Amino acid sequence: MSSSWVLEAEGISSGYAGLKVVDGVSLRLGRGEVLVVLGPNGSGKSTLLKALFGLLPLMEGRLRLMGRWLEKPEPEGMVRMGVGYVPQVDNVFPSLTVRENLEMGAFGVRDWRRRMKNVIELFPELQKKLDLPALNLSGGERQMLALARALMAQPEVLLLDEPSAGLAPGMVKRVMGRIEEVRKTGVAVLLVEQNVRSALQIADRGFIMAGGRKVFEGTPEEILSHRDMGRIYFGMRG
Amino acid sequence: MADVAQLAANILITGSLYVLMAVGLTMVYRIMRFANFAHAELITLGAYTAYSLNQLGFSIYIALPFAFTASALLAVSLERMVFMPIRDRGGDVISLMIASIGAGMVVRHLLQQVYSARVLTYNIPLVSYELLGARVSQTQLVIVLLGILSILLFHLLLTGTTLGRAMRATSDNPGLARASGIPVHRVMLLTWVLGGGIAGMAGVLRAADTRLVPTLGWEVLLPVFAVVLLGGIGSFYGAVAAAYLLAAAENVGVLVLSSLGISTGYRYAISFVILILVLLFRPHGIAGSRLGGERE
Ligand SMILES: Nc1ncnc2c1ncn2[C@@H]1O[C@H](COP(=O)(O)OP(=O)(O)O)[C@@H](O)[C@H]1O
Ligand SMILES: [Mg+2]
Repeated sequence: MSSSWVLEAEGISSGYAGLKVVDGVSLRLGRGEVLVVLGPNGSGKSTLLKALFGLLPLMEGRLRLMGRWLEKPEPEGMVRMGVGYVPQVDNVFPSLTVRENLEMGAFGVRDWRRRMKNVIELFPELQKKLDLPALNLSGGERQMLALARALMAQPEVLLLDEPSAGLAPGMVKRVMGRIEEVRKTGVAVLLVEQNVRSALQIADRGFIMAGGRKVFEGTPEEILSHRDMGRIYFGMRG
Repeated sequence: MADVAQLAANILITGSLYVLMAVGLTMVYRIMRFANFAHAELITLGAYTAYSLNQLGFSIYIALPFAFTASALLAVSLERMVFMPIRDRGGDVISLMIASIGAGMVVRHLLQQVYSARVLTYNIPLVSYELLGARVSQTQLVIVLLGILSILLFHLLLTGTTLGRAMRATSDNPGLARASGIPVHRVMLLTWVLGGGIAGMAGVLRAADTRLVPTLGWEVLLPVFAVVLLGGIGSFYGAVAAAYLLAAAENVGVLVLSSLGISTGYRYAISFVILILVLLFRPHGIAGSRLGGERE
């Protein structure tokens, strides 16, 4: 029955240079599911994503991808096995054109142009900008490109780090709508977000992190009605 | 009129040689993010490789691909034996820079052991041409042709091939390049091969145009760094523009110096002055590449 989970983490801890930032987090992500990770600034959400993608070493715990335990997760291997990652910042190649950015997303794939046509259908606003350097895109367009770039590899799992950060409310909605579309194609999404309500609208489940640990997990309704939500979330801010 | 033609020719010659000597340095800076002082010895090794073949009776033009290979091999060895281990152990750009100065010194002294410190010259036919009122030697003609050819080929590589685009992607954002599944290590190696190889060929041409000594590359390293900085560190097109700009400043400067009765031996002082002015007023160079500075 384990095969229904595309990504499983068991008690993973990770951090920087011996400093443990994420402490014993477990999670499971099913095909076409959106799992939201919430939590105040500095609670270790980005660190968790980096550890899941193999950018940071695991200090404890283990990872399973499509039912296979991973010996030593590292980014090149993760991409090959169908995991896409969109970092919180610096998530496009600024001096490359939109087209070149998309090509790099499917590096080494012969028919990347056909894939690009499919991806552009999901992100039509990029069509007119194909020959512009990514540097010239607006914030919203850049996030769209970052998502599109990750989709070029045809991932099974997408790890998204605050894709709506810094965007105007209208744009946040559009980005969330697009993630919803992506999920409909069967991609599992682990979504780190600060825009709690927008994120919970497209989520199947979610959990809240504080101080590197998972402190609450549930459905969007359960999270919104959780009586400690405000304290965990806002009490620890600033 | 003839003077103007000769001046233009001299600018083209100096500038093309600067292009050939600077591309590798700027590419390596862009992708590996440190100033490689051993670039000087990549230039020098190419020149000595051609000398050995020239002694065996081969033309220096036949020797060019061998010079390319020798310097490319040296560049890759330095990366594998010195720079990569330092990076893997968490060494910063200063450690890498100092290591490159040391590694360059070792190579320079090895070359001096093998070839002595004597001033050497190639056996080359002393042919020269009269072109639009300017007199240029065969070597100088080859310098200009090869300089322009390498600009075109580099442009095609960087924009027209997947590998070239991967090089640009890696220099834009190495972390995202890894996250996209680009084989970053292979891209780095290719950068060393091309950068080192072209420096080796530039060394042959520089030695053919002047003379060959173990400090051949070391002597030109400063103007070459000036080209790289003036172009905006890591910018290929900036470096090309800067190479010809600096060449113009030097050649016009030399005319001015000699008309004032000052020794033209001060020509490199012109690059020093320009280098310092650039650092003061346009620290990002003429191409103003902010890209490199946007992330750590
Ligand atoms: N590169 C880093 N080196 C050292 N510590 C870091 C680094 N990045 C983040 N941290 C620390 O890890 C903790 C969690 O950061 P992060 O995972 O970015 O939180 P979040 O994404 O939830 O805001 C913070 O205390 C932060 O200071
Ligand atoms: Mg974060």
